[in-house]
Amino acid sequence: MSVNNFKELEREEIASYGPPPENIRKNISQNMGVFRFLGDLIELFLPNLGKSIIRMSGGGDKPKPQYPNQQ
Amino acid sequence: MWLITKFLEVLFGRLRSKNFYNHPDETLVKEYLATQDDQLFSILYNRYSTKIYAKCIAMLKNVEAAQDCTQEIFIKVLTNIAKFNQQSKFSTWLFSVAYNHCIDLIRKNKKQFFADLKNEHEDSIQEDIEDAFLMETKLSRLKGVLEKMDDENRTLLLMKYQDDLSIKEMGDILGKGESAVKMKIVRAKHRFKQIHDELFDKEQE
Repeated sequence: MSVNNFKELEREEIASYGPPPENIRKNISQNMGVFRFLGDLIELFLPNLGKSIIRMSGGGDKPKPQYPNQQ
Repeated sequence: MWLITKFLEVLFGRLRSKNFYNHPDETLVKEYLATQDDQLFSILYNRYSTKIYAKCIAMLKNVEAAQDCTQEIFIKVLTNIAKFNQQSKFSTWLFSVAYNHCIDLIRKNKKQFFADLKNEHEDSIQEDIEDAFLMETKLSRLKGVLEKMDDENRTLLLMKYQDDLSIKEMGDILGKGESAVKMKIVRAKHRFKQIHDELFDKEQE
């Protein structure tokens, strides 16, 4: 098997620098939490926003048929 | 009731993710996409964060910048994980994201990083240097030579010899064609030999 000292150098660097600080994992988790929250908000309100705009522009559900005695 | 449900969810999530510890990366990604279970991503983070962190320090030469960079890389990976098409290995894709991000950061500081290749083909007659020459360079010398090399050439050699990226993958990262990347590698190898000879031929004399 051929020698590759680039890989050896990488192993040495990994051993000397060690793992990244634990707060990085927390920050990633917090960031993703914010993204998910925003995603949920958009998912929750965007369809209703669309409906509201349609209603405001005069569209929307068809009026219920009226019976002759209600006219 | 809600609390009990949440507790059970977390407990079963943890138990399920324990079963995934020995699974390949690609299976974890698939399962993560299906369940969005943070524990699964945590397994991937544990596998690669140390390597990515070391790579960031090696490229940016600044511990604080490397910490920010590692964080940004993993956030990028998480937000784009649906784009991972399983055609390459997950590790290759992750390293591509990492290199891309580091190169962007270096580019912001030095505008000449991976500059135009206008005159690239003029010196294309250069003979190629054997891979074995680079790979078998003694560790202490390798460190010295890489230390002296500019960011561009060093990054190319690390992509090729440390992370085994293909020419196409390197081209995608750098936004260059395959022939341009091949030429850049030839040049980087020549630069490596030049610095090596400057540093260590004198030593031998």
